[in-house]
Amino acid sequence: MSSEYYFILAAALFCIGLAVIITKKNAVMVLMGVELVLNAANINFVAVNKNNLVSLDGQFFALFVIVMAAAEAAVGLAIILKLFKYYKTTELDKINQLKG
Amino acid sequence: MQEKLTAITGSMGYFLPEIAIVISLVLLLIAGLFNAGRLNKLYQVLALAFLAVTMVLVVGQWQEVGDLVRPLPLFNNMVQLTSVSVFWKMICVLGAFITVAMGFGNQDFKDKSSEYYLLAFGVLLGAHLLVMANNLLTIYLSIELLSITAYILTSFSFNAASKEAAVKYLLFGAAASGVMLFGMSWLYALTGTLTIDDVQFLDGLIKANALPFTLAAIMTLAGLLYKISAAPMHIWAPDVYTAAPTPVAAYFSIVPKLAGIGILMKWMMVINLFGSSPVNWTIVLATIAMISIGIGNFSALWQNNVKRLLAYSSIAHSGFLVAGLVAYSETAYKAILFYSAIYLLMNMAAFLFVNHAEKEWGYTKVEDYKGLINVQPLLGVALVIVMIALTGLPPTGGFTGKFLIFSALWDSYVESGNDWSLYLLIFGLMNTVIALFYYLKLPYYIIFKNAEQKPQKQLIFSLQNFIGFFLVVMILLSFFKPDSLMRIINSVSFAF
Repeated sequence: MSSEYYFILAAALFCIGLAVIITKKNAVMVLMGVELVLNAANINFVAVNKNNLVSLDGQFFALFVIVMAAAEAAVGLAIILKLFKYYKTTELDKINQLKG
Repeated sequence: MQEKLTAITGSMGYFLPEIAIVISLVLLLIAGLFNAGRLNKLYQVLALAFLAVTMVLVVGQWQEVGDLVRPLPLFNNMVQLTSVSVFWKMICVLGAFITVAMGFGNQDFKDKSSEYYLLAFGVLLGAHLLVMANNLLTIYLSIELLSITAYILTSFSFNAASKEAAVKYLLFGAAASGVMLFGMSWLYALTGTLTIDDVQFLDGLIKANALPFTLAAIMTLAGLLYKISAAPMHIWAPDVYTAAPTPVAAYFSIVPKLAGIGILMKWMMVINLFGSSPVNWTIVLATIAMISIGIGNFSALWQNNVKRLLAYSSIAHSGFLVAGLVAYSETAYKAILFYSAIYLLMNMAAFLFVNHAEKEWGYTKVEDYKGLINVQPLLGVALVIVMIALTGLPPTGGFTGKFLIFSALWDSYVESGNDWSLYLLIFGLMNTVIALFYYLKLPYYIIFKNAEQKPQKQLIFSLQNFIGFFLVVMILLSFFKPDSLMRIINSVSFAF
């Protein structure tokens, strides 16, 4: 299978992720959108590296991204948990103390 | 295999400051296990000592790279040691030193202080790696290291507002770095390599189609602009600066921002593709710079909160730093280095005094500063000088910095006939006048208004005020005698 299909899949996933980030009002849903975007990039990296037998740069990049996504999700969920303690909601529209 | 291992062990000798940062991070983590509540001061002293060691190592590196003509590749070219990167590292360590000297402000959560200093070291490590990065993977990882630690630091006020700022910072930052990563994956697809100064990388980009290259480069640029809080990726900055603890806001306005400028300088050299890029990047950058300067200055006009005002001012300052990139010449790059050094001095001084006023007297609004000059003449005068420097008026270093950037823009207009440099120059000059209105609001309240109730006279001698006054003297000195700083910057070489 040519790499083209992978790129189309990745681009679609990226667009879905970005749409989720922009439209969803819930902080946790936005984080899920971010995960989709990161995985879209991962598919690209692995697909490009598919036929390259000399270096494994792309594969390694994908592994690093997975680890970073986990770290980001951990910190993100911790902050959202604390936010919930103060505001009793994770709806981003209702969290608007800071303005100006 | 053998070669690669020798390359790694051989690189260790040039990696000492970063190793020192990691070791001090671990030591602070261990020290934090012992009765954190009461040892608050000890952690600060420890952190300052570690930073001093790091500074000594970085200065040692500066002497080492002095006679380096070509950049020194480390760890199989994952990072690169150049005199520029060592200069940025000096600035970052200095910024971290002043931040740590400001201390851990929160009296109710003293047991969290070791974590606070530890996270500050995390940000510093990210900044060090970012300015040395020579590989897309290193750029991504160091930006994430900077960001993730910064999200946690933002929430260190432990109140509702700081959590809100942290979540905004987090969601916005995660989205920006995701977009950057997708852009990087395209660049990898176009070139087949991750090393950004590789011949294969540049060759691949030159041969690539214009549209995918432009999209990928702009997406990657988005992540970098987010780090330097330039428009259109600046939206997080005012909220984060307002709600985060003041030392953290000071830290964010210096270290991640200047490290971002450091990598942006390199990145612009790469995607310019020796002038054969399908996009005219000077137009893109000039637009970004104009929007940043404009948004920063105009929004600051309505601000009442001092920290929010400084946040908008820092957005405008990133605009001026990006303006240096528009000129795109060696003089311009040197002007950026000079401006950054001065920016470190004046912004840190401003935050030091604001932090003091907030902690001792509870001042947060501009009106609170009424008649400060009658009560604390020394502090009042110092703040006035800092505000004049931030505006960019003589006799302060802020003027010299802006002057160098503007003259670099003028040179680029005269030499290469780049119209955008001229537009940007005119726009920047006009905005300096607008900036007068809000920067001088604080001096106006300090000098010409009389306080209704005066805060009792207090001794203002503390470590942080001492550093603040020292910085003010440096700001004045950098106007009258900029030669020593210039000499340092002139020995920087931009070989690529």
